[in-house]
Amino acid sequence: MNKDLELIIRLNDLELLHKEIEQGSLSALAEEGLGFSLGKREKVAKAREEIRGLVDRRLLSRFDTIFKKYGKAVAPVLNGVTYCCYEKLPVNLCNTHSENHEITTCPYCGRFLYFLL
Amino acid sequence: MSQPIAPSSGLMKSSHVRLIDFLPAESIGLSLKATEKESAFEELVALLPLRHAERRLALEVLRQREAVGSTGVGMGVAIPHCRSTIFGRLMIAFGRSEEGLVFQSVDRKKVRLMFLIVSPPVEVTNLYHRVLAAIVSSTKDEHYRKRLLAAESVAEARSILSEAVF
Repeated sequence: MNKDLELIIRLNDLELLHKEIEQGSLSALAEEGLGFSLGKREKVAKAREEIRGLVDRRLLSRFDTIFKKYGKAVAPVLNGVTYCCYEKLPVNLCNTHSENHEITTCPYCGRFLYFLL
Repeated sequence: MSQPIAPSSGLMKSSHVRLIDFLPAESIGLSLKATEKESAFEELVALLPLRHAERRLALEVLRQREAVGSTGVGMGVAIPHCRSTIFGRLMIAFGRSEEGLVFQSVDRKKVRLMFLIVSPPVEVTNLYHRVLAAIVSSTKDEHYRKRLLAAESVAEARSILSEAVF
């Protein structure tokens, strides 16, 4: 897998976790209600900053713009369909990028794509 | 490998979903060798049908979730869980350790039963928390835990796990 894509995915997951904890979302409340501690939330913020420092500056800028606009910056692709715009991607694009060796973005919304098997 | 987000076994038609519908026999390990949390995660993630790079990422996400707070719920049970875009659907792995492993659980007891739950960040069927709640609820029963600890085969463990519905 492309190293930058790996960082982008980790950052996206961390941003979502951070947002959930900070906003006290239903999801975070449900976890705490089941007895799971989410007390050390500063560790998420720290990890997020660490990964932000590793991501290429131009990619990070694009990530931030997309995340701000859509609430998540990475979308999975399954059977050639994007799980952001729910559009079918061209077959050659799917064949070329199915192993996630390169960074690909959705031609419709610009979100980073992750090709599931 | 990763499958469609909606389960394909007619689950959506049923009002009760069984834990084992997400837990195939290949995702059950009855003799984990790990003696501490980190290697236990590696063994559990290896039970999931993921690509090599996804396993590495899954471990990172799990570590991150664990850093926020331990998922050792006490009574010898841990339920590590995380969500990431790399997971195409909700998946579960079950592992049992004969010796028990150090997990920083709330009661500081060694963990012998572990349920790993992974899921996409946004899941249309919204089963993530229901699965989590079902496992927490089932494992509170001492008899249930003892039966899982005594199970002699994967088939027997699966039969016991099949009792957990949500």
